[in-house]
Amino acid sequence: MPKKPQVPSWVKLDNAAKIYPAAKSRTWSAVFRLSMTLSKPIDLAILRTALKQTLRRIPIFSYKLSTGLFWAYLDKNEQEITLYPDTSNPCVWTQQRGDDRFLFRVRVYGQRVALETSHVLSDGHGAMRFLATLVACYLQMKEGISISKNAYVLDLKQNPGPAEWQDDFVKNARKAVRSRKEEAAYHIKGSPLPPGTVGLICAQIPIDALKEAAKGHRCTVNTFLAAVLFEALLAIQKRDRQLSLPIKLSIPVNLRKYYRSQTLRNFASYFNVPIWAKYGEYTLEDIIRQIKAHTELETLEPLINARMSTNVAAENNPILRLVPLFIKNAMLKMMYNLTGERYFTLSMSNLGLIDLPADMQPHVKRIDFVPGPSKQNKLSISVVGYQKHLTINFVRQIEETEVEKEFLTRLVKLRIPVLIESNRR
Amino acid sequence: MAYCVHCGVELAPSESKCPLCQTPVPDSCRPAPNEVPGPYPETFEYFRRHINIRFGFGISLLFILAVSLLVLAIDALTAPKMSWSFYVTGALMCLEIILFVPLFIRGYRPYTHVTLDFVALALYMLLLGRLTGSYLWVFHLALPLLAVITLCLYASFYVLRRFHRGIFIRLAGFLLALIITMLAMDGIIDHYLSSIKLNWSIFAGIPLLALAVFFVLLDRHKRLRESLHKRIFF
Repeated sequence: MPKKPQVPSWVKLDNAAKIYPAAKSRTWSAVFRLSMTLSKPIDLAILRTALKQTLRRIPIFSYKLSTGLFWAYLDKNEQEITLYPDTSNPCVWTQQRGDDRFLFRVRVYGQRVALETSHVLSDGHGAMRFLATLVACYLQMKEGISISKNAYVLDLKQNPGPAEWQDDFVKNARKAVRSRKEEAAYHIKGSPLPPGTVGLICAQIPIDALKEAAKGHRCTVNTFLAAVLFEALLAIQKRDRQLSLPIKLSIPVNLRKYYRSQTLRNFASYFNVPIWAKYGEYTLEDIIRQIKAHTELETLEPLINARMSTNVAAENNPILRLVPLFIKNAMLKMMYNLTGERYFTLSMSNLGLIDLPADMQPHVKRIDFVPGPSKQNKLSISVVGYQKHLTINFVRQIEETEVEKEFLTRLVKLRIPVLIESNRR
Repeated sequence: MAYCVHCGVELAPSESKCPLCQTPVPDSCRPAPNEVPGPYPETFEYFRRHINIRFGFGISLLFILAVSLLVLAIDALTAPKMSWSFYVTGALMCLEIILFVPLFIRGYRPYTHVTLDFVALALYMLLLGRLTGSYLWVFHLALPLLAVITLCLYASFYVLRRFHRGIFIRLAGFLLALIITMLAMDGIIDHYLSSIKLNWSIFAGIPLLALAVFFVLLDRHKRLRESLHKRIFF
């Protein structure tokens, strides 16, 4: 009989997660979404069973957020998990009283199963592994096939280990810290959508066309997309006649590439790439050079580690640790409202090319990565690749679609075909 | 395959117009967009904006209690005999009942709120009477004035909310209640000082009476109302 896994009854929040319970409000919490569209309609009963099995394998996802005297923490949650129907406004749910208090939701719509996760629990890579494992478990039960494990699909027969819920920020941080001083960024403006509504545009682009275009400019696909996005934002900023502030793109970095980490919780950093329109006109090549230079510098391990260590040092400050949570939350909330999203125009998260096991791929037609709406910035973008297509999801909280239009029409002009759909018809 | 003629992007079959520029997609060969399921369902998930007002009441009560205890402690430690702290503590408790107890009561209950305010203020007056060593002004001035104002408020609520007539008649009723209240207050103050000789209330009441009569006329004469409305609308 396999040994029962030693799952802790409670765990501390990881370093990145600590800001979110403080920053959240009645109408916003940091939620993002990953989804897989299968080749057949979803069987809810089987999915429910698969979800229970996946939670046994990845128990950290079942934890609920609780508050202590000095810090919030994750507590074991014995509630029954429910499946939710999908909605036209994804990622806008916030924890309500009477909820089952899970920090994620599994939504079903036709052939699509979506996982909406709070950033308190995990980041994109951790959530992708959960979703891939869930779908693999579902397909094994539904289709009767055997799916091999890989970087994304965990072995259901294996016991969960402490490495999967470890706070790798604290484990890998060093003493050297970096200044967080930055210049404020230009922000997109627009007419706000009604509360609770998000405008979502999904663009599907053939990966080969993108690779060819990127190769022509001697850069990666991510750099190429970022450069076209910068071009679009510069055009908008010029029309807005607000050239004094730089446009800054926030690019998350998966720290699992730098350190041997198996954690399913948050383990990512970011850096902001700036471009100042006030200095003059930039061609696409100029922008690509700027992005490459910044990326090469900011993704050096010592600099990435210093940025991560700064946050860990703040968490370990003895005065901050002894401040009661309700005061800490008020201070962190104020700091987040003043500076949290001030230093970047928008963020572009890229999960890269998802390589599911070969026996799973015929059953999964499409993968989407939808960023949650930001608290202050009006637009967020995320990118994920699967098989032959790259899917870019734009989530906005304003009526205007200027950024999406500028960006996608530029791709079309570069002879890259784009197929789009939206949640508002 | 349908394309937007302005943006050049290909549109999914579920799109009836381009999401980027709202250009319609007239293509008779395509199935109607409402026949094709969209990428997201039509249902909209509302989140409940839950404001915990009772929590606000709890916090305010804790704050007031903390300040009261501090005031009592300072008085006890600094003075040989406690005196001034009772005035402050009484006022704080009164303030708590007037401002924050309504947060604890569900629903809109004006009569309950006014009654609680009367009780709070009456108790504070009695406390002041005890501290000053004289109840004469409390029973002959303060409490009667409070009672008259409370009755005026009851009458006003009744007239404005329950009296099912036009707004001008209700305003006239409110003004009449106000005039009677002022006369009663004048009488109570005069009686406390010496003898009843109504003075300032008459001067204050006359223009209010004129205004009440004007409102009654407005209510009865539609032409007058329309004539005024067309001259002063905004």
